[in-house]
Amino acid sequence: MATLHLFIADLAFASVIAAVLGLATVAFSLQYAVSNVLNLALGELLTMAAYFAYAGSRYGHLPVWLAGLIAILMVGVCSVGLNHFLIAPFSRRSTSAFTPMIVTFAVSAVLEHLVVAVFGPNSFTLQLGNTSTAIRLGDFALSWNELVTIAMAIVAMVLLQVVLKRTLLGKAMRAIVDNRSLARACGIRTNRVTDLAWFISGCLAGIAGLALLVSTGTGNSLLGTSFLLFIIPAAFLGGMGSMYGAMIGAVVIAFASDWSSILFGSQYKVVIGLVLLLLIFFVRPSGIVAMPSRRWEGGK
Amino acid sequence: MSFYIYTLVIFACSFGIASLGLNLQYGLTGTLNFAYVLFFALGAYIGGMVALGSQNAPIAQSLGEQFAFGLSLSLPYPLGPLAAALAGALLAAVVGLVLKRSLRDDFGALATVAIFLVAYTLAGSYTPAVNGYDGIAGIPSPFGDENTLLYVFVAVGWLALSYIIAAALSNSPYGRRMRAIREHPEAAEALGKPIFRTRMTVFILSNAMAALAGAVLVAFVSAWSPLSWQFPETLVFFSAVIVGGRGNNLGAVLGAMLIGVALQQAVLFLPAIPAAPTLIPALQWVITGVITIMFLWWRPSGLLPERKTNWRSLQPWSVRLGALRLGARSKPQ
Amino acid sequence: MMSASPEDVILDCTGVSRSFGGVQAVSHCSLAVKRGSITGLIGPNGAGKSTFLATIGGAITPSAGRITFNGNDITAMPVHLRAQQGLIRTFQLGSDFPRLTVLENMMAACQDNPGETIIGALFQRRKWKRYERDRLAEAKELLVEFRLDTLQDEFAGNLSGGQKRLLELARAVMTRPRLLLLDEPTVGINPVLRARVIEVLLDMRRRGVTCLVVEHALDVVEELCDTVAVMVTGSVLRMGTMQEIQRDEHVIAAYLG
Repeated sequence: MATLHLFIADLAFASVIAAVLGLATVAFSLQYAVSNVLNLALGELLTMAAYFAYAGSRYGHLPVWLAGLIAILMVGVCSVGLNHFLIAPFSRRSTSAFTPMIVTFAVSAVLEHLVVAVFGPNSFTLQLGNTSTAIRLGDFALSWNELVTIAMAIVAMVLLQVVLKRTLLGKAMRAIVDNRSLARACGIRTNRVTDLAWFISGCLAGIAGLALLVSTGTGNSLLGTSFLLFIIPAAFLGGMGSMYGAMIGAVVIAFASDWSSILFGSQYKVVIGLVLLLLIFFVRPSGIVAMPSRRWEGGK
Repeated sequence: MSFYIYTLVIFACSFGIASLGLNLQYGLTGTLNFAYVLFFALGAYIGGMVALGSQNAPIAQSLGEQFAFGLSLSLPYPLGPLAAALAGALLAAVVGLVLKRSLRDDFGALATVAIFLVAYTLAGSYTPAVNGYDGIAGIPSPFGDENTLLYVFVAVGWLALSYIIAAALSNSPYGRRMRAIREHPEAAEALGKPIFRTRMTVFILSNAMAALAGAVLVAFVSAWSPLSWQFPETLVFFSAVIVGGRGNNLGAVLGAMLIGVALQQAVLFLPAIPAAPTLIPALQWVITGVITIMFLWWRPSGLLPERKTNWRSLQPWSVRLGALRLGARSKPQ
Repeated sequence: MMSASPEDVILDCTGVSRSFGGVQAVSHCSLAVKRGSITGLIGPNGAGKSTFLATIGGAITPSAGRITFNGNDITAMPVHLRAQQGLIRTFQLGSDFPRLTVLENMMAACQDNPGETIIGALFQRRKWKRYERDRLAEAKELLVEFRLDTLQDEFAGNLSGGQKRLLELARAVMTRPRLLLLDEPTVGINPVLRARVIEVLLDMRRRGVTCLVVEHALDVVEELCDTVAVMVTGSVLRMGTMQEIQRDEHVIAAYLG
């Protein structure tokens, strides 16, 4: 019974992680869907969001919400730059998916250390919002910050869903995911739409980075990189196929890792993701490539 | 000063061996493994722990008691690197068997990232294994502290051995099979090449080389901890292979000298900037990444491109020398 | 259906089926290929010819049925083992190794090279060098025959489409095949090279190589094949000589819809 109490007490924290992970995983899968590249620099986009917000409020003396908003948009722009100037040219040139992936690996090393070169190696703290309790139900307690984080994630997801389902941009994006050359032949400006998709995924990553900063309170240059550890199993679990898949994968990984750390000790919280991931490889000898849904449906 | 040179030579040998290994698996066979430095680190841990003994420095004693598998063996020298290579091969076999056919695609590569990150976090947080973030220290110098020069020669010997094996393999029909699998796996399979078995064999061999490289390094630097093998370290070896020339063994060694030694290590001996001690190391990483991307775009074949087969080398030496004497030597290709 | 004694049949497929997501691409397809023949496989688009060929080559596993090659059941055998037994397929798209030279492409096709194991490569250098010297001479002769000898040290990626086709055929011959599966060998190459490919295939029959050819161009089939199998909606409808096939009203009906 004691464990159950712990589970419930931790529910809030796990939900926040699930929200952050959901955003990051959707961003990761969306980038893969439109560009066919697994972006190892995604973690750094999260880190940069935290640093941009920090710089905006500390050096720019902006109110926190404004600094955060600007940070999100700036990460979106960085994401577009990453695609437009590096990933897209490399993908156009090479037939294998390996070279663009190595490029993202190099970019991740560059960004991680660029942050250190500019801001120094020390962790920073950013007092964001309100840590007092907003909702309490027995053992379950949710602070205002946690509430805002989860709300932000839900709003972002709903917005993305609306964009994908209701707008011309979303339609064009899904067409590109289905068949890039056919989409181009139909008059869709594929390069521009891909850039826009990277902007959206960059903004999602930015929100995720800020939410991560809010939930941990401190940030450093490894904030996002270490989070890749959870993004990858979540993306695998979700099958890279649809937005809902990514979200379900994120929720499963977040709760499984949180609860396994309660049961077995905190150092094991990283193991559950790997176990799930290796299990996927084991039950599907051909890898998850053979999964039926490699299309970005945007939900049904 | 001589210590500075020794350090650089040892780093050159260790990184050279590791780059040769990565060239075999990535440059020649086309397997993408972002956990490469994990095998390097495993070799360093095993090599170090096999050599650590109770009679060594007190620090080693206090550490030795904490290890789960109590390796205070203090075994004589060549056993450390050999055990390391064996451990690297075993881990590679396990990873390869789990990833199975995904060893060749981008999802397999992504899985290696996850494997690395989890192993790294565990090595740091689970102290009984390899003493967590404190790592291991006090690893005795193989031939005593006064015989460092001898160890330098031994390290060069390991590099020479690795080079001979890598070169012999890549210039043989087996090397041609590796390149064929890299170029077009389905076509190679349709010509009767067992692609999974070949990839697996090369994966095991090359990761064993990475482990050997780790053991060669740790015997000199005498300490090892997770700070020495963070995720971006793998980029050093990728960068070395890409800059040197994918598929060219000499290029891999050259790349290891340029990226691993000249850019990453030699600068460490510059006086640090007092106001920002981390600025130079951070900029090194930025430069490493940028150089890698620039080479991939402007000179993807590297400084020393992969060589075409020299068919003349099939002839016995008597024939080749005879041709030389007669002056019948046509232009080399 | 033509009858043949078992020794004469090199490839025997019975009741081979394979479906993709509810669509029956190949259904209960049976085919016997006579040793030493050039058998054509024709049929309207979507008849399942390529899928059928892929099940024989091993790229696709059939959901039902049995395939025997040279008397051995190969239904579930991996691709590379089929190739090692002499069952070689060529591809519709280019399957060259672009960053290997033409001669290296040829030498990569050797089947029993003693230097293609780690141990052999490192410790039996004399043995594999002798082997390679012999096969190198053979490869060069083949390249002369295919008129690729002037390009032998060129990267295969730099060849033209037709030259790549020729290289692929030459490479297939280099494996010393028993049965060649050819997927549209003359598509997308100019008439001069096309005549050359036909000449080469006819020459291969003289050396005792059996061929199973999927081909759309009926004039090529007529010139090349001694037996023709017509595939319609996933199974073989008729088999016979080209003259017989052309007179068959079922075939005409199938082609005209």
